[in-house]
Amino acid sequence: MKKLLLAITGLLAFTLLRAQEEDDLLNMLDSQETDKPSYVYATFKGTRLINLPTVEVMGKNTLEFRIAHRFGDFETEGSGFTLFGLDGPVALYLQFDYSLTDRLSVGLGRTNNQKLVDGNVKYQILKQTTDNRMPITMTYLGKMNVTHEPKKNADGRYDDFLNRMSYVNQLMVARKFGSRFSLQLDIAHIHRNLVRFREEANDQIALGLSGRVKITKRVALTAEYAKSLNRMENFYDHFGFGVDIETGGHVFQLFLVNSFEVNEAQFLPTNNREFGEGMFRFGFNVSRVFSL
Amino acid sequence: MNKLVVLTAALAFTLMVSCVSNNEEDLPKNLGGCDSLSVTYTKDISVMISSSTCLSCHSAQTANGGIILETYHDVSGHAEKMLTSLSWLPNEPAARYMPPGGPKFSECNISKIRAWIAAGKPE
Repeated sequence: MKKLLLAITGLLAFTLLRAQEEDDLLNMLDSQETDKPSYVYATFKGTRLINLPTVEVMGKNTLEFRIAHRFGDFETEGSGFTLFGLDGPVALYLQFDYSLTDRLSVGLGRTNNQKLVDGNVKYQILKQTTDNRMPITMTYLGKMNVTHEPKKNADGRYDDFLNRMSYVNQLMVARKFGSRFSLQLDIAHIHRNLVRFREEANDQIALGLSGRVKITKRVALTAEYAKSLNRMENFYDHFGFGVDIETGGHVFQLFLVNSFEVNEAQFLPTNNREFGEGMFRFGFNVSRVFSL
Repeated sequence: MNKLVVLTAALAFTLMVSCVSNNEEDLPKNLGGCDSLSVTYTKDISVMISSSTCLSCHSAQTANGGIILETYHDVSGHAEKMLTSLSWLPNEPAARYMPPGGPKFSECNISKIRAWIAAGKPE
């Protein structure tokens, strides 16, 4: 009987203790939930600013379709018949990005310049929180390009298929200061399997700086600059500025930019358009988001 | 988890073996099938111009840089400048590279223009 009482008391004590523990666990969970970080949103309005990618990744199961369009040189010596470059020639880039999670997206794009097709993976490593425990957002973008230019036009350039390939690794760090101003720093590594000149580096490192200032609820001013640290001297830095206009579901980005090409493996190492010589152009990006 | 490791390893391996470092200047020049003898404006040069993007900026309507490339007279007047711009020389300002944004003309076409100029630009 004594043994039975002891057993019952023990069991009761054990149950009570467990209940106490569970309570503590629940409390901990509760307190964790209240501690759950709230993230800063809309550091930038799109996954790209002008040419440079931003830290943004769309929400899970979102498909983004982007059209990037660049017109001809605004004005060069002796020109005047192309209506500030609107008559072309044009560069066109089409891109689909799909977000597998809130932090990870995969995409496919194609530009008419050098008929370059690219596949990309974007992963948001860190997210800025409102309580400033995490002061920055950090995102990685990896890109693999292949050109499908016809072999017959290229005298042996593509006898080796690998000469068609190029790669971009990019790390972006951004911070939203208050509700109106965002700033981003980029570092990019570009590897091109085939370059044009003997003295041109196959591997190049580029730095970028981009910013956005919100003017009204739907309009923001944007600017970006990028420089390849070891490009050949006769090429130029990338620079552009413009305006973001948001109209529910669409983001329109209108700007002036010197680079003609849109892919990082093209405009970072070999931008041949000099802003000061009238070699800038009107361009726009339009993006449409679909929730799947 | 194992699948992810295998996938990452496979991707890393693919990337490692698919990276090479070549340049066009050191590639073997494959000009075997290139006929740069007896080049004429009508047979070769005008065909080359009309089948590329030249005329989108250098037609009589657009005349970018004040250069028109529509007739024999136009092209022969700008032939030397054209050759320099199309050759993409590493010591030239890249702003003069034609076509802007590429692709660069093939070595065969460039050698044809060079031979055409040397032969006295026959029509």
